[in-house]
Amino acid sequence: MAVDTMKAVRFHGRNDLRFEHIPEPTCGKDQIKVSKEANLHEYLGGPGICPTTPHPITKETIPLTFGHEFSGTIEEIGSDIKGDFKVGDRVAVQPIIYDGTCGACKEGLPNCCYNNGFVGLSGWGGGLSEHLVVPEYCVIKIPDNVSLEIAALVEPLSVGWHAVKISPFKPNDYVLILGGGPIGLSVIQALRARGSNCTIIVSEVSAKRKDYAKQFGADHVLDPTVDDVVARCREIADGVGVHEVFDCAGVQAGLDAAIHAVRARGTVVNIAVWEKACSIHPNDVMFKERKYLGVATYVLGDFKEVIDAISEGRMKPEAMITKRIELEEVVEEGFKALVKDKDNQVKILVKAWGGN
Amino acid sequence: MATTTMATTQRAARYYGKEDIRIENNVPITPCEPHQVRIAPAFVGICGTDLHEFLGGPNFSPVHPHPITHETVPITMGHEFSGTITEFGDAISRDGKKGTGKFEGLEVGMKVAVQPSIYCGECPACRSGAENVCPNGGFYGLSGGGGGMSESVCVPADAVFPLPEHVGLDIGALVEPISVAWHGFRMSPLYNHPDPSQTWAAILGGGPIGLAMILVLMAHDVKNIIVSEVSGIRQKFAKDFGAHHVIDPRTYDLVGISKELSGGVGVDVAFDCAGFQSTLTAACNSIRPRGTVVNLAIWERGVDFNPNMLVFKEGIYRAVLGYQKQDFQEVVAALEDGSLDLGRVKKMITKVVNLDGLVEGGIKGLVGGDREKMVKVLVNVKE
Repeated sequence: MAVDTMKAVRFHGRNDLRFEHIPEPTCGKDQIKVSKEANLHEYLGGPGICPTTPHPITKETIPLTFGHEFSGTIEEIGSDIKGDFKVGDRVAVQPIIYDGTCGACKEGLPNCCYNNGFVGLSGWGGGLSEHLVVPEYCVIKIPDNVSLEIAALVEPLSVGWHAVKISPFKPNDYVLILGGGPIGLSVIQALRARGSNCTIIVSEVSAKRKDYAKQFGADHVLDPTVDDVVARCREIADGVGVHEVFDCAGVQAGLDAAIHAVRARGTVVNIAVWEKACSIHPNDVMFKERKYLGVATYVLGDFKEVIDAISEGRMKPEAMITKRIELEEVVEEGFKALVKDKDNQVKILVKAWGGN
Repeated sequence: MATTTMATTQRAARYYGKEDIRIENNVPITPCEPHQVRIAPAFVGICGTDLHEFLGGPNFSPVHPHPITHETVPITMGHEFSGTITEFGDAISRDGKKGTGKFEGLEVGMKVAVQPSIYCGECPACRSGAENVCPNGGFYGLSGGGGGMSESVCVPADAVFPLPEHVGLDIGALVEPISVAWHGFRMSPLYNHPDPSQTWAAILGGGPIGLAMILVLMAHDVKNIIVSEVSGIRQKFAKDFGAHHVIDPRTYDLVGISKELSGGVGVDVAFDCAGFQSTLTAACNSIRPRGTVVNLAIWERGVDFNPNMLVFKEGIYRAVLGYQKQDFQEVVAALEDGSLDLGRVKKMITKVVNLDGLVEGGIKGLVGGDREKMVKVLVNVKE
């Protein structure tokens, strides 16, 4: 029997994304197929780390279908699936891949799985295609009042949500956010959605992103090329500094500011994935008994909480969508726009079903 | 209690600057302020900080007037000390207000351990209950206000902790360094852990604080302690103090061993009591998902640090400084109820010198060839 093909955007290597026709996946007994009859959306993040040797769980290597922030509609349900799903259900896809057997997974931390990966980065297909099949745990239904477009924002919003949730944040705290990109904006929204009266300070260079930060609820927006971020934080925050810093930038200058901007016994929460090692002086942490906390993506449960917050109107992330394109346009319009027009773009939406 | 006729000068060890410590006989005796008690020091530990001041100071000792004590060098040395109460400040304060009752439970003649912390009590750190990180803070024996290496020193009445009957004054001088470890432990998630016996802890560095940490962990029923230490002599101390696994990081990989021993996940807490690039990296990599690194070391320079070490396991790096009153109270209570093993605590004392022997027998012994054989050198100031 001839295998059906579908459109997909695949990652072949650094700076090598291709729009292709590839075989359409079939739905296994323990899988759910999410597909084209409705929409698959993708908001492009930066290129991730795709395996060049077989991934320990998916066993796949590049080329791999891209896209890990997406929503879709259920097309087919495997015969062993026990959950309350039906064909046509609209869903957000939580793309974590984990082994379920390592020390981290046994602790209930699949986000820290020693072999972890992501749908759309490590195999199992991805959001930038017309169909894909995933395990049941990846599929989270969305209520009627949440659109599929918005549902594709749940993944980045969950990153900010999770970071705020595991940080020592309290409702009246002073908070500094380094970086006004998608994750910085998701932290602002998570802070506001939790009903807090906190004071939010954002440090960001780009003019457009400063505007977005204000629009999403920042009280003060600083420019690190002009403002003395540490001094301004102290001035704004009781003369002593903020309670928490969320580092969504991952650069040395930001970290230096973060450590000094946080008050005694305050916490620097790092969300950024760093491209290279930086340096710290542990005494700067010690003399104020400060803390440095790493956070990784999200755990099961975070997606649902974000979806509830959106459904209940506590979070209104629509404005994060700054561009809409077709699947065929991803290579030219999507990634290049993010690289060349970074300041003006937050999230670019891809209609993965490629029109009608 | 009224002061009777007393000598106006005393014998004390004074720090003047790098390699300049003098034993002097004419150091003024200060009056006992209303909120203070006078202590006749008995035993004083020589601390790593003292060594740094001697070898390369002044670092900590004030060359400009200290914001609270208003003193500059020379200052009287000794911040790890025990002694006997000899006098109370007037319970009626100078402005006529009655005392606050802080003298309750104290009597002249009592043997006590002293918390040498100096803090302003007014800054945001002090007001938030973190007086140990007061930006104006300091220590008796390092920042002025007198010190333990003297015949007489006055400290706030709430900074003295009566020692149990069976605990000697020599042990009393160890309450301060043990409190450093106790504070580090208290700031870790092992404190108030529902079942510490099932947890794993790594200690990087088997110097005095690392060894004290072994005792503190054992006092809290932690039954899986891994110590990483290069020196063979200190490895032996670590075993004698009760560490369950002692490794030489030049031969064995702490990260792999921590993971293997703890059932594939890594330790709950790694205490960095050494402060090197290699120990920071090993500590961050040996903790379990959501584990904690607690830094107790003071660093000489910045280090390379890759946040991804903590990101992918949601680890915490925190650094702690000194101690608080609660730590002293709990250490003394643990000595009293025996959860801190007195026999092992006593093993920390590897040498006792008198005041005249401070530099030659004490400090130089701690920086010379025998230094690895030394855990704590005490100065017996009454001898």
